[in-house]
Amino acid sequence: MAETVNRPPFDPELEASLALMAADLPPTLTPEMIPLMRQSMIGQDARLDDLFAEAGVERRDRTIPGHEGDEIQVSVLSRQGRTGVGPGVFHTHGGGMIMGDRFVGVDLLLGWIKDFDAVVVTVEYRLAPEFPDPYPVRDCYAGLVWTAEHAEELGIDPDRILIAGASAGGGLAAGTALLARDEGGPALAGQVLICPMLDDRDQTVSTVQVDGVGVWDRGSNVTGWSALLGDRRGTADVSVYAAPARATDLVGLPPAFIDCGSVEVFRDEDVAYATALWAAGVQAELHVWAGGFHGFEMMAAHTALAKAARTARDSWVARALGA
Amino acid sequence: MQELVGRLTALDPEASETLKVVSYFDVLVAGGVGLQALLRGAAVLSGTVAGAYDGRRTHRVGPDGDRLTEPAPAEPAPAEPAPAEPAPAGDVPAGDVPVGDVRAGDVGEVPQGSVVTNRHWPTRPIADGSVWLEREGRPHANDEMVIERLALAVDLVGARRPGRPENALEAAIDGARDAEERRTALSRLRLDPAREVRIAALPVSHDVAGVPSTVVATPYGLVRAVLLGRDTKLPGPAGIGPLRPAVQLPESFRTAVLVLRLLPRSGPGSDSRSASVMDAADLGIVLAAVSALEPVAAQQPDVVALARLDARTRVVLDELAAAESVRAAATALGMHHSTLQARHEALTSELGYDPRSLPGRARFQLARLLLRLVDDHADR
Repeated sequence: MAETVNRPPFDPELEASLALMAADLPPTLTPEMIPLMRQSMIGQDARLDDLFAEAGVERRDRTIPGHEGDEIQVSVLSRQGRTGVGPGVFHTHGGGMIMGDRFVGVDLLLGWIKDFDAVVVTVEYRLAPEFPDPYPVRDCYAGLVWTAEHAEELGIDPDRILIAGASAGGGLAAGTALLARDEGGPALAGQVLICPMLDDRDQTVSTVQVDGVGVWDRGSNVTGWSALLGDRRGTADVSVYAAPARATDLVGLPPAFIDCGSVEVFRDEDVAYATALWAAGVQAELHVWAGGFHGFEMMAAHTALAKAARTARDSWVARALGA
Repeated sequence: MQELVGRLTALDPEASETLKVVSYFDVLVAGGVGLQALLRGAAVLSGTVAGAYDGRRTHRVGPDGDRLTEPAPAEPAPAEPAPAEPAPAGDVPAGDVPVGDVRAGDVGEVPQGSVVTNRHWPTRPIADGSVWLEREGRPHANDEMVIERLALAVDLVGARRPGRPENALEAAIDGARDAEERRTALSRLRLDPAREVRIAALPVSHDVAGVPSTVVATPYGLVRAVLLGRDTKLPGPAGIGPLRPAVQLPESFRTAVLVLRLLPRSGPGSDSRSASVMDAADLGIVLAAVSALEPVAAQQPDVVALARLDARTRVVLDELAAAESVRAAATALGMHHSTLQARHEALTSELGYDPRSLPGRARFQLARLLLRLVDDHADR
């Protein structure tokens, strides 16, 4: 293959991990692969029970009103036998807007249940393309509103609610925070945007650099955004709640933590969002991990880079919660 | 998308995953990582604690990639558990036995100066100590491969320290360095730039004593480069580059790597190459043809046709193309003459040419060599 694009190299440990997983993970996801990808993620329930038991976490499922009052599910995760009041974390899962369920990526948050006695509410928003924009972000917002309304019952301190999500979930978290600001919704103590998917326009340098390599490349990203927005993708007819990168007014948003890898499609839009937040006077902390591919922290948790990323994020959360 | 794959976890305890192990450590070494990253790799792949004693300190890493500060569990004596010993964390003065329990019966089995570990663990010596996997219970299918590649990788990253002679060879064969730098390296190797020399490419796990040798990262994984003396005995598998002035070492090493890749595998489905030595000089224009065609080899109908066949059929074809007669081929293959005759006719119509005819032999040989370049995991 002729290399025509300059691209930062992958971290060696991550490159080795990629080499191992390449067989199960084509760099580019096309629309016809969506059903298969969803299929491969089913049957995680037994593993989840083990994960929660090992972490001493208890799970309660609730049915709540989503967008337009349709029923959706949330799960409430908390320390077994927990009483009293502590911080809350509202979680919007990743999966490119097209796959995954509310437990995807939740292991990034389990430490906060243990360390800060947090209650995590994770929402089963409806997925594109069956439920295109605005369903996903509106379901997330409905879940956040429900969480704030039921804070007392859930043992959550309403002044200490964070919103957190990775990848598409990071984009949905940012969009939900914008909705909360614009519609007078719950006050958020912070937004944790983990390698967030923010920009449908496919115009950055990083999107050109990460094409046919790594994880969630340019083609996959176009697949995800097209499922969410259909023909509107890249046109003027896209709301800031669907694609927060388009927001020009970021004043008054909650403090943000943003991280990503230097070798991922989302790098430039994530850096730009942090820059725009600072320009609007919003406090933000940005980490671009050298040689990281998209989602490296979850896929290659044993690596030095993943451990550094986890440590940095947990430190920010501790500061945001005044722990 | 991280959620599609979950996370990198231990290899299947029952199934051999040699290629995965090899490629994981190859990429790490090519990336110039240190001991900790190598141990993390071994621990995550094996799903158990990986340890190393480097002559000064003991290092242990768990399967989640975290460093462990406590000492390795001592091997229980038969019928009664050994008392747990407190061990110093961190640096251990040289000469002290850092972890484990030394028992009279073990001393003869452990290289002097390396840490004593549980005798049942997979272990390998390294330059100044040893590496091991703290496997309790049944060994897993990949343990031996993991520990072998770990030991090799630890020695390789250790050998990368500047000032060692092998670094001079590394510089001399590196086309990315300027001529000045390569000439300096040649003088450190005591080689006249105009002198004609030969260089060989070997699988990384093989080495030749008494001549300059180094390991370099290539697009095809790690390869060992060996500078051949006048009468160096070279065991296979190896590819030998053309005789060229020493200033042209980068080019002749590239050729040697190509020749190595043209070696057949030692058997169907095998990961190792047959122990033969192939010389660029013997390939002549065929090497030039193979080299020129490599970028488009995968699309050549003759290569595609061979790739479609199963390993056994390719063995039959090899014999048919090479043997004096179909009868001789049948004898070599342990087949009945008339059975092979029928196979020969069927294969001729399937390939669209007769591999025993003069033009057919040329087509078959070229396609066969190109297939080895194209398909790095199939049998050769």
